[in-house]
Amino acid sequence: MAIAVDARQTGAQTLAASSTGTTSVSWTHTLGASLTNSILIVSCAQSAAANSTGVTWDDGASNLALTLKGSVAQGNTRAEIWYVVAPTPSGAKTIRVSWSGSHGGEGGSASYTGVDQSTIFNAASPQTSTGLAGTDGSLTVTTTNGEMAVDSCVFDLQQNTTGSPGKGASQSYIAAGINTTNNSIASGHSDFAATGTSVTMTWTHPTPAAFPPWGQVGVSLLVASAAAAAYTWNIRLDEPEIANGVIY
Amino acid sequence: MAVVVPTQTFAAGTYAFGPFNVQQGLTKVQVVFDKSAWTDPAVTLDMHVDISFDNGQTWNSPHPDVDPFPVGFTAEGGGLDKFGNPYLAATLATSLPGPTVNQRRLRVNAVIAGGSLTTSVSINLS
Repeated sequence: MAIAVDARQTGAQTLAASSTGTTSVSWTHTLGASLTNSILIVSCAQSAAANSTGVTWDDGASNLALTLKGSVAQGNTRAEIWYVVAPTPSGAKTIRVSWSGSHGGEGGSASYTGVDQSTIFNAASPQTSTGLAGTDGSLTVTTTNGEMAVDSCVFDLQQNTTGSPGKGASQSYIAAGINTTNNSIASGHSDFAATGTSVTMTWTHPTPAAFPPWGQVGVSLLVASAAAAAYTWNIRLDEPEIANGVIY
Repeated sequence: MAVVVPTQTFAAGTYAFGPFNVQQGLTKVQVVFDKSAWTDPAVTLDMHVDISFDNGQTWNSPHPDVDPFPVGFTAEGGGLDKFGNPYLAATLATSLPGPTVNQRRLRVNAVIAGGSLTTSVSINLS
């Protein structure tokens, strides 16, 4: 069974939410009902030296906590990937990303089905890359055929510059950050259905900022294995026959 | 297109701004609360933006686009950005789904706690 997208922020240059001068940002994600082997991924970026303090699904109600899988730092900015398997409840619920103190933050979310519920990630995950000014973002994520690679990228913009990064042609948007004044970051979040041993996820630098330094973190979701076949062993124990000293 | 609520002092409590009509073709909303006089971290703001696709009859109903509404933030007074400068605003930005829909409306709800808040509010659509 292949990994399938349940819901994500789709379309060109869409954004879940972006904020600055705040202590959290929230948006709504619609999770399908009765999903099989599901996972909720939140990709986010923020202008802080420390990781976000928490990400919750169904914020304000059941407050299901997500787990940080990986992050990368670039200066005083970070890109992060959080997850929870078999999230509940389904429906349109609030995702909230919180941090300590006032910062700028951006994020997006995607839910998938057909994901291994115990190992969850490719053994090589998470993987990170960083680059200084003068290059675009690029990260090669180790995969096997059928896995789903997910990444989060942050560009450390200069003060009062704005812009959004551009994704690689084969990547599907989860979200792309629309930078706001004094936020000083731009971010991109995407996925890519793997067909081989790796996928390279790229982000072009946002304009008008001139090639800011960047950081990128990525994971690959393992495909759920087929349900184990049920075998019934019929063992018949007969009395041995002995003739002329030979056991038959 | 912008809607501006001039600077005033809001007592702790719940406030609603709008609804505002959203013209066809607009694809982004940005809501800005001025922080220049909002320096006390004990004073907090919890706000969110709702969208309607039927002239305000229903809010945040499922839309063919995967839209993120309601969207929001929490904020406290003060704070320095990574350059060491004071944050002058608490800002929210997001995409506006359904640019071809001609009955879109937005509203902003805010909850102020921990004391009174002196601020202005700017809602920018583009």
